[in-house]
Amino acid sequence: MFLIKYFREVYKFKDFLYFLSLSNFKSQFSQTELGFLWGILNPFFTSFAFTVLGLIYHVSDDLITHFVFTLTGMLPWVLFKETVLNSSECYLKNANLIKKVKFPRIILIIASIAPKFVDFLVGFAILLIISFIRNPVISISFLLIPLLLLINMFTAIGISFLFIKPITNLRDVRFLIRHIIPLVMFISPVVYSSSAIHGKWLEVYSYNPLVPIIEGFRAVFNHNAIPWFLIFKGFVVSAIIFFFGLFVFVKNENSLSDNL
Amino acid sequence: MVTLELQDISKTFFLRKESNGASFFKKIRSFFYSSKTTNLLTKEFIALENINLKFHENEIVGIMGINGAGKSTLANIMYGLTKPSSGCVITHRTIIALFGFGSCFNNELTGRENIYLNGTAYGLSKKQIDNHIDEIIAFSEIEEIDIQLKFYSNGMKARLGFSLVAYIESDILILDEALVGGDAYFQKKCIAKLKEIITRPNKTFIIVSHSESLLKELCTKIIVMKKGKIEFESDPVSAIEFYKKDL
Repeated sequence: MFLIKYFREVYKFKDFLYFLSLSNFKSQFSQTELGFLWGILNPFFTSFAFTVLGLIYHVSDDLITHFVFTLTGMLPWVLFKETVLNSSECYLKNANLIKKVKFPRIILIIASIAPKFVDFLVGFAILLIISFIRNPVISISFLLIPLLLLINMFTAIGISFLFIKPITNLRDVRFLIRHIIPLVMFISPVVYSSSAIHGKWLEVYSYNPLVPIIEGFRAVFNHNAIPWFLIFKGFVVSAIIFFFGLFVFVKNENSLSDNL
Repeated sequence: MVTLELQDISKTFFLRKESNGASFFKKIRSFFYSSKTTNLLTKEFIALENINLKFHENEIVGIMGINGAGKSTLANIMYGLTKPSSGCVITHRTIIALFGFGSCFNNELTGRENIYLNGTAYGLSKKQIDNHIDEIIAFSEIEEIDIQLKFYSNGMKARLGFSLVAYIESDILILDEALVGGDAYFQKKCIAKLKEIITRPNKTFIIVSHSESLLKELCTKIIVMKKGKIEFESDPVSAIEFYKKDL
């Protein structure tokens, strides 16, 4: 009931959300010639580097297969990382706005994600093209992608919700998070397959929502069996993180402006 | 009819002290416990004390006071940007405050896009702005509306910001330092526009300003503030007299 009221208020500002997203998108790559191409180059460069490493250490022999493998992990991972890093700092970046205009603050978070999401979509389109050239089959399992993205965004936004208050009140946390979040890549199957994890750790590992997201992506693109139970578990975990975060955020959203 | 009522409003800010010898661990500990009780990191600053005010329909209230008197903090609390430390704000009307102008301008967008960004931030819909965009641009008298804002002068930004004010719909409108920037010609134009706006029925206008002549011209009542308290509340002529004597 309370949430419905809250989101009705947010809906009133939908045009503001659009223009703020546009403003974030435009200022991100202002005065560049390649523009938003820079945003999508990052996952491709990193994937290529890991692919070359994989070839050197004989993890895989086929360049393209390994590249697609790494890219299917890298794209959702970069979306996750950029979302957390950008939206948890949105109070600091928009301090001027927060001190002068009243609107549901969640709009700042969504608008800060919008440009990152566009980057992801372009990268995703390229991944689709590559995988279609390799194997021209369109399978029904592609319909699973929106669900996987939902899990991804739920987790990322939920975590940002929780970080906003400490980041705004104690700036040390900001630097801490900038160092910690990139390390999450190593406890997620971005550059390796989760089949590398064995025994009792696998159970703990599977509670990381990034595992079902990335494994789901790989299953869809390689036309393998979908790990349904894993995805279900990821969905539940991400929904818990999101709604708990939302609760904390809505409780605090207006009390933070004194420290900006 | 009362549109906005402030009851016993007080506001205390907790300022961070610079380290002053406290050890790192004590600081960390004080962050986990409530920083208000440990009194290690914070110093109190009382911005407002026991403010009681009532605003009525068709009233144009001016608020004066020297820098640091608490005028903007009061406007902030009325608008709802910050919560008062104690006391409450009672209103059933929509309320919007404009602090300077162009608070959400983005230098990378064009003048036209900035009109949309600002307007929608104050709750207008894109359609409403579409309907008035030509009037807004005409009022601002900016010819290069489709170039990026970073190439604008400060005066041009102020013009662009003010041009929106006539189209913002709210029962209670607070203007804080409304006419900063802009040349004498444009200021005159703004004052004429303000005079037109304040004739709207059943609205309340609150104008925070240092300009005695502006307040004298527009207001029906003036409040003089000093050190977070209301010193004087009366008709414009005697309030300004009091303010001048008090300086």
